[in-house]
Amino acid sequence: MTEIKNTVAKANYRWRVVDIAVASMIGVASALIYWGVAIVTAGPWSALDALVPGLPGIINGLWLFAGPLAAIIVRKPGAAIYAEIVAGVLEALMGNQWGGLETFAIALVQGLGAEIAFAVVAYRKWNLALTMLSGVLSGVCCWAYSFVEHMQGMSITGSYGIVYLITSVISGAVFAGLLMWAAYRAIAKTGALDKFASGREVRGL
Amino acid sequence: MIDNATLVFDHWGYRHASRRHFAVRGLDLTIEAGQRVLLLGASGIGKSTILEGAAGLLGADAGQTDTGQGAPVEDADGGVTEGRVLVDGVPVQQARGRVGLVLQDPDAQCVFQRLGDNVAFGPENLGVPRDAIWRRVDDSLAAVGMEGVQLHRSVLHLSGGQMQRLALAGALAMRPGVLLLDEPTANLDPDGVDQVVAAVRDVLEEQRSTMVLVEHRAAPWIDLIDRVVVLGLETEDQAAARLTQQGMDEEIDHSGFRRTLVVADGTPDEVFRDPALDFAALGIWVPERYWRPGDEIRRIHTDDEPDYPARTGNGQTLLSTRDLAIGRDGQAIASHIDLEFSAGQITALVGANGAGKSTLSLTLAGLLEPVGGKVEAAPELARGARGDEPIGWTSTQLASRISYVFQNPEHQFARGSVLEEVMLGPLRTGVGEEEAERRARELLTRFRLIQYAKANPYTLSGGEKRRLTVAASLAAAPRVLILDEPTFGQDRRTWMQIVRLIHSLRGDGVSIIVVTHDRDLVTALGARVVELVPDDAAGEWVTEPEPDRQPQPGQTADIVPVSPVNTREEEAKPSSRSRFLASLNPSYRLIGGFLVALPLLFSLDWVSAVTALALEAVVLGCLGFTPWRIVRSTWPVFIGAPGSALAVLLYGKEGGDTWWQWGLIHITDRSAELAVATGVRILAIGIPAIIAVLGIDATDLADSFSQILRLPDRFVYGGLAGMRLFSVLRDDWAALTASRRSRGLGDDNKLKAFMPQAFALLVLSIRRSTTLATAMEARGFGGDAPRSHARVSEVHARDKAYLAGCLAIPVIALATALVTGHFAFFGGA
Repeated sequence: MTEIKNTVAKANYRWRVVDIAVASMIGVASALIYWGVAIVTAGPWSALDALVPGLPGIINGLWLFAGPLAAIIVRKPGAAIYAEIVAGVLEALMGNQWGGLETFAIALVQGLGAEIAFAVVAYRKWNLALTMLSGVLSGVCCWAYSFVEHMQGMSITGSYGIVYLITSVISGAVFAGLLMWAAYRAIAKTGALDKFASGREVRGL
Repeated sequence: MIDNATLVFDHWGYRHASRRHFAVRGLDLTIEAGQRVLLLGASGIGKSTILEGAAGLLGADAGQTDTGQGAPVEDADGGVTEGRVLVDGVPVQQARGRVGLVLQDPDAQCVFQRLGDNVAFGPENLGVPRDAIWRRVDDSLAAVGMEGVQLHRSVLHLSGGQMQRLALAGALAMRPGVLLLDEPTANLDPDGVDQVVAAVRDVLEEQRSTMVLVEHRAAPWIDLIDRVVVLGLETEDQAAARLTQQGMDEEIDHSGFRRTLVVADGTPDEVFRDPALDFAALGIWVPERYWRPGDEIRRIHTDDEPDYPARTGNGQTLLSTRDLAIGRDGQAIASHIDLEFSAGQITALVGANGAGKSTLSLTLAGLLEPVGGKVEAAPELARGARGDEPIGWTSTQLASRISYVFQNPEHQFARGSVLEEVMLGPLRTGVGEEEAERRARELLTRFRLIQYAKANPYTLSGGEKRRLTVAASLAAAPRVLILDEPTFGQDRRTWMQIVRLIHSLRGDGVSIIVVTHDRDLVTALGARVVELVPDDAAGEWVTEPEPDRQPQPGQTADIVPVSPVNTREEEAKPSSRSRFLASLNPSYRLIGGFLVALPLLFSLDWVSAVTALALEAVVLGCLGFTPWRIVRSTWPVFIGAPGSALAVLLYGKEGGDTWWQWGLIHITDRSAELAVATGVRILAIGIPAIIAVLGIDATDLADSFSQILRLPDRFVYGGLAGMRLFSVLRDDWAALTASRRSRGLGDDNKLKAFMPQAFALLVLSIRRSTTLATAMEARGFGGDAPRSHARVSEVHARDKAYLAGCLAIPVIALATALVTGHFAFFGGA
């Protein structure tokens, strides 16, 4: 089969239908999980805030993972933004404590953050470090949005703002970065990603 | 109307990106217009690949496919195509809509919530004008016997047979010249099979379409078929073509594979009477008229079988029900059930789709709370557990006593390798590491899976996965084993393997309960039958005479009466409680929600927040929302607002008198004022943002995104299709939770259990979406050609008035703040 090996593998930026379907499904499954997290953390959030002001940011990563996960699986420009938007629209239609449309707006901002990490390398590199960077940037965007939306009453340079930034960034790096890289590797090993270059790379196919 | 086409495979082949070998290679086959072909061959010979290729789903984006005569071309999927597939002489990729494909899984082929929209989808993708689309929808639904059905009816309430007829109508609406059916009835109950076969028969009578069918159970179809093609492999080292797989191999061996051959080709009479072909080895149920000795399914027997009959067991009761009432959400669908299950007995729970077989079996398995009465474990079974009712047992107590094998094996997997998967049960029920591994290896050897010990469970084939789930369940040594549809979708070979396996468990003194539609399975196992019969219907298993079969002595069924299966009419659902809001364009509703909310972010002060909230209350009141209704619809913001307000109160910007200071907490005049403003503003932003979008139908929103906002259809409808699977995922989550309890994982704390279960959900959802993508492409979706729209998204004057109204609220609020001197840009410095 030498004739096949000669075909040059090139970065293909065009989305296939399966890319769209899987990215949107990651958004939908994430929305289901986000929604559960929102309900479960409503109580602990205030408790954490009472413990150390700004500490609840440590939960934020649980709302940030759709973007990085979709990006590293689908590997197309805009995948992170698209998955977050699908999740956001679905959440908006369901409603949660941040208010219907708010989730849509914050999803857009967070998706944008996650996307930047991969855009700067022109979607040619896919590794743990970039995925964690993607989670971090998503966390930063989440933090910034919070200050615009419901924390204008806080001083952005005060202790609350700084603690909230640090915890959001750590949470983004761990939950949306490290954990998603591991999740992607594990999903790929099940063979579910054989239609994707990302999946075949892990399985050595 | 006759518009059939000729299908030609010209030295065609395809290699999937994930495979080393070509699935199909060098295939030369011509199917003349109007022919109805049954395509047969061993598992792994590439039948589904051939249908996907014929539907034009392979080799997309491969550049020019018709220049190279047989030169391999790599596509965007990483697969490699050789040769060509031609429809009436045109390469299939360019013959859009000429080929219609119906797949096996009914759920995976539905893109929209509303029934009619699914049928309209294909014509939309072909750019058919709107009026013509709806005529085609009506014609296609009539052709599959669904005329007059409400087009807005939700697909959630359709049976499997109806879903497949809907999928067929969706394919027909494209007016294909060739109809490809890939095991369209493998997942259906007998009634569903009859429905689909009858629908296809009517279509072929009327439209004379060319048809290619892949199906293991050929009998119901045989009268429609005029040509049977059997495929084999030509290999380098063999003179004759390789036809079947070896031993327990799931797939035919591709070593030395040179090309795909047609080894038999003729009328059904010619092929099925060909003594050179072993159809049982090919996994085919031969139609009765061609039966040879051994083709009929009879009572089977296995080694070390106990001497008491399977129907009765040894008479020692393990599990019984006492005046049991079953149902979900506290609503009983059947009551006063008294049944007993004894050791060594095989019981078949049968009954029509939706009658409640799964409800009963899950209740028996201690996975679903009884609505009334109780499920009682005999002292021998209950010994050492918490009480005698399985629902009250801990997860580990349950796993070593009653085990449940789910219909979808992927609901059950919990570990990264086959060996660990089987060791899980013993480990959870207190067995040591070494003993657990010994037991697991023994079971894997017995089930012929030992060669996969280190493989990831998800990568096994269908039949292997099923054997693995049975092995994993048995490893915890339960005394009762419940299997949900264990033979669903299996070909005759794997069917036989599974049936022998189940039967052999009798020797272990296990009480076996199978939930099934499969009459052959009941016959082969010699099982006792318990039938769930809806009040308004007659039983199918007891009353129906079986002239062609030897009636077996004592073949009577226990009847469990259940309430009638729901077949109600559905009202079209309004998209908002307010008639005004419901009449607006969804995109405008969305934008309006933002217009109310976003400007308020410019100033954090209590005046603008209170003014906006008051205005909103008045406007919503005029639209018919009472304050109580507003709170009920938007309760989540009433939880979020005080939390944020409290944080601002304690740690917010400081100024004025200090009220209280402790550690980092510093409450001042200013922080208190900002806290009030924050809380009220969150309500003022959140309430309209929720009410504006609450109830919007996702399909209407997608139509509006596409037509009004001009967003690309590929992404809009791709996203919509994903959203429809949301309800499927919720069911998946429930099944995952139940299966983890059944396997002894249910006692873990919630947080620890959450991650693995979320992972399993992601894997399932990715699999579902890849199938969905295939189904969408089969309807012509995803190309660059212009699409038409079956539904119109309209914008009226009232939509614009609504936007103006929405914008007026924050403008008035902010102006008031400015005038009164309270305006504070972003809360002030």
